[in-house]
Amino acid sequence: MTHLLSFASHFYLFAAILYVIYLVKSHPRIAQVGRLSLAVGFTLQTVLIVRSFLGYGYTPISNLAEGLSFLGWLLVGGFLIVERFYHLPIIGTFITPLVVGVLLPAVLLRDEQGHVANAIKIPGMPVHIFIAFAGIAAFALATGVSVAYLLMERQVKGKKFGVLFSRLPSLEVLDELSDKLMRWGFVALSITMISGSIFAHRAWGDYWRWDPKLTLSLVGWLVYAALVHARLFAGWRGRRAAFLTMVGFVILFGSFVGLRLFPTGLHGGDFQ
Amino acid sequence: MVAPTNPRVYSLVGLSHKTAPVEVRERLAVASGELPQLLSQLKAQDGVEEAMLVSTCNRVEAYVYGGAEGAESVKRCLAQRGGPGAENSLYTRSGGEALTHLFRVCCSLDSMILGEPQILGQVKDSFAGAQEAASIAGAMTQAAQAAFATAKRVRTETSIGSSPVSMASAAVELARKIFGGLDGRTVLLVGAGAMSELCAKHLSEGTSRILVVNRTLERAQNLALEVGGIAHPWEKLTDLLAEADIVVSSTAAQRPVLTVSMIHSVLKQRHYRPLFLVDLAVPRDIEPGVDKLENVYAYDVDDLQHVVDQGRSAREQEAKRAEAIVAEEVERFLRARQVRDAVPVLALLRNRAEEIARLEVEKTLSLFGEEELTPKQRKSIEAMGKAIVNKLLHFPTVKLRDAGKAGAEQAAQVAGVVAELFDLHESDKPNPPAAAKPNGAAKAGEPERRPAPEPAAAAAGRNELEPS
Repeated sequence: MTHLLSFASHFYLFAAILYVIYLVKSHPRIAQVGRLSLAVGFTLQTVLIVRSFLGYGYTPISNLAEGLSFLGWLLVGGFLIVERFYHLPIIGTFITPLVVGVLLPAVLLRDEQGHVANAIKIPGMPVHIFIAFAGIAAFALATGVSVAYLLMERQVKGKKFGVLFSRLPSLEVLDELSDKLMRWGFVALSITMISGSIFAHRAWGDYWRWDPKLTLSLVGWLVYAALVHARLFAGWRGRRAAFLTMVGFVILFGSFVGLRLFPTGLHGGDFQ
Repeated sequence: MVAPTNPRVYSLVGLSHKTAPVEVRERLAVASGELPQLLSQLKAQDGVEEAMLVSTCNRVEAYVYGGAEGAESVKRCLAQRGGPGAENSLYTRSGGEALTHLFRVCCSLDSMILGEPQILGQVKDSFAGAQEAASIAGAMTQAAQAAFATAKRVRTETSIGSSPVSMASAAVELARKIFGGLDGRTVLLVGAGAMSELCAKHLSEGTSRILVVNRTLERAQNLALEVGGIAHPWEKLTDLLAEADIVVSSTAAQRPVLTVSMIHSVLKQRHYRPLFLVDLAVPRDIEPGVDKLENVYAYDVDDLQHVVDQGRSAREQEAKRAEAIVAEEVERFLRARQVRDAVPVLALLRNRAEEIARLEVEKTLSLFGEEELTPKQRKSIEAMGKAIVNKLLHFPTVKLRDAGKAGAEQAAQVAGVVAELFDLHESDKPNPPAAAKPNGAAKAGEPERRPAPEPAAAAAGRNELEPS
């Protein structure tokens, strides 16, 4: 990774500060500048990723730092898309700090050069990894929206109104958006699980192994499967759904970060 | 004789909820039918050149423009109309204070409910009424428009108007925060009280469906007719709860009609869709504890009042910023007027002089036959008329400009003297040549009338010259 990444993350940091200010002082111009700053950072990072892909022939997700920054890139892209269709800049207040939180360790760790794992050279593997990341990004966005929902819901229910009450959109809009993002994440995660098991069959001879990372991913998938089901058939929505969205994300993120930091299993930091 | 200057000022005489009880306010209140007559009565008062009357349920205020004595005469007029008790409640403001008051009223800073949005429309109506009755001209129009612009600025730059001011609007605000748009929602009215009707009107929007249920079906049908809803018998209450998004309850029942178990039983049927319950009844219709249920939001009158109170303190915060905007805009308006004050007198003076020169030249030329003067000679006579005007007005022009630069007081003083000496009126400004003549006629009457009201309303004499 190059200094381009820290350059891009400065734009993200600036945007995050603007979006937090936007929460307090709701002036549309602030959010506009924030969005612009995100877009600039996103463009820089896109250049970085494309260059890495063309120059070194691999998607830069071979170690934790690269993975995190790739996740940040997807989060920003996802937010920009959501913002494009929903015009809810206030969501940025919840997403951009997350982006900074993901990018910060990536920038700090970037010198630790991870060797390019052999696994990533398997044809089709980058797609598997990309979809897995996209799924996590979608869940992260859904979680951000769910946090907003829970804060808002608490104010409406408790009849105590703070700044958020006047700024946030209605409960229904938040719930619907969280649901939509969660479903996209679920589709991506399902594809990841299936493609993963195909790769596993080739590499290890089994479709499934009780590796910690895989197990956690499966638990996360089950949580979301239950949530999709409950939303569709049992009319689950609102608080319960928001909580489950968060729980599922914590599990998946744990399997992503935790097991890269402490690689113990087969499918971990080194992609062996 | 006449005081050297008689600068014209804005004045305000009126009473409001702050100074007068409703009995007094309603005696003084002006129905729209009698507005034109009262406006012309006000305008006929000594020292009043322009008059505008704002009459709402919370205030009756006359804004006038003219001599300083105008306020006194308007006060007498209003006190007479309001009867006993009115006189002590009337307040008078003049100059910048009167303008500040007008601006504050428009910005809803003087309202009983701070920041309530209706008042601006009411003042605009008053302004339109005064325009229709031709009781206002340039000065009051400028002031009113500046006040409206200030109100608009306050609306956009502060959030004084964004928090709910009444229980009904609080309920609407909450519903919006739960559902987003209210379009297409189902509103269920339980009980057919007046409050239900009011709330239903606020909450229904576009394609929303209104269901009415009441112990006596007939009253439900009446209310349904009133609000464009569908009436249902009381027995169907539980079924209707499964359909509704918003429930407004205001029965006279002594015990809760919407119990926890009742709501709980429909939750599943509703697929846990959010349910917003508004309880306007005392004793309450909704059993406490209902709001513990998932995706159910229940508000009783106290809760709504609390929302309104919170909104009030938010508005009070914003009011401080609004006051600063008002002060700034009044200041700006007064400064703009200072410059205008000196310049129109100059324009009027020039207008008057050129008019006289033109008439005299015409008169002179008409003494000669068509053949007697060559075109060159005619041109010379016309040029001479203009030259005399220019030479004569050179020093007054310079002096007036200097006074305008020197400051408000001096400008007003000099301008006042000039206006007085040459009998200039702002209403002379549009210059159809005919307008000069009635003025001249009035001038003839002046010497007889002037000495009579010597000490009492000396300056008021000016007003009698009003050409209209």
